[in-house]
Amino acid sequence: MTMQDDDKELEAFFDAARRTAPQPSADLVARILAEAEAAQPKAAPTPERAPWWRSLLEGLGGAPAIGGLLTATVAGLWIGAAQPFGLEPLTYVPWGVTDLTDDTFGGYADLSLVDG
Amino acid sequence: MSDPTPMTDEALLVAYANGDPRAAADLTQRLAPRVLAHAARLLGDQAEAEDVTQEAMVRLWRIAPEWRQGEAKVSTWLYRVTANLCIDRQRKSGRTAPLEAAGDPADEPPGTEASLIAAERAKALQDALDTLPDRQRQAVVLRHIEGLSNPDIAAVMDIGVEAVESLTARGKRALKVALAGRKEELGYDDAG
Repeated sequence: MTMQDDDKELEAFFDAARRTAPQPSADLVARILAEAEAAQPKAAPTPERAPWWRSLLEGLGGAPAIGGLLTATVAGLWIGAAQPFGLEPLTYVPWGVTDLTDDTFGGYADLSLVDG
Repeated sequence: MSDPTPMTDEALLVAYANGDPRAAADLTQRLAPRVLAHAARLLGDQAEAEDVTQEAMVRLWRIAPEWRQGEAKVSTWLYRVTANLCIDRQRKSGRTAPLEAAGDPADEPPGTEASLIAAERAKALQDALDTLPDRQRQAVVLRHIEGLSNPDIAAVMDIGVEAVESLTARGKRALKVALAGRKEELGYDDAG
């Protein structure tokens, strides 16, 4: 009996071991897959494409900026459309005075004289 | 056959970590039989080998998100985990040698003469493996049954390649001695 014969016989045993290897039962596979599912990190959700108006809104600075913009717009419209009642006395009174004297401006009509 | 370029174990593990629902099934189909067979040969007990297989695969799922690609083979890592789990079980149970041979073979159809001979030879080999020291048994199983290369075995066992060669050589010699007395009953004769 040579060493090669010994190796050949031993290889027959190894081959038998490979061919008769135990296989995982269906129950074992099911348990492994259940644990795999429980341990699996969840895939990151695919980001949805934002609607055009949202990107426009965000480009302008978001909701607070839009609020300020609307307020300024309304205020501007009001200022432009309303009669300027508050300015009437300031504009009307000086031009309504027909006889302007030094007293009209409290004696300081010519301020250049004050500084000398 | 159906897929000319199958994904590597590592690619599947990365896919699993990224949430691919198919990856776990593919990895299980590919790796669980090898883990079970290895555990059965180291432990010699089918039920315990199944428990070890389940635990080893759980550890694989857990390591997946942290797996460092290119550093180690998945199969090598899994063989090492399996061997460590087997050693832990043997230590806890206070034994270092397997109690009995692994469970029923699944590949061979039962009843045929060839399958009976294969089963008897596998049983005789397992009995002989059980007489080896743990490290010799592990090295011989990885080299001659699982078919790993010596460098891969060295990585699994955390030893040098020369130490692997020494362990497998001594293991084979011991197996030949252990099996010498059973050749006749297993269908061998002196003529070869």
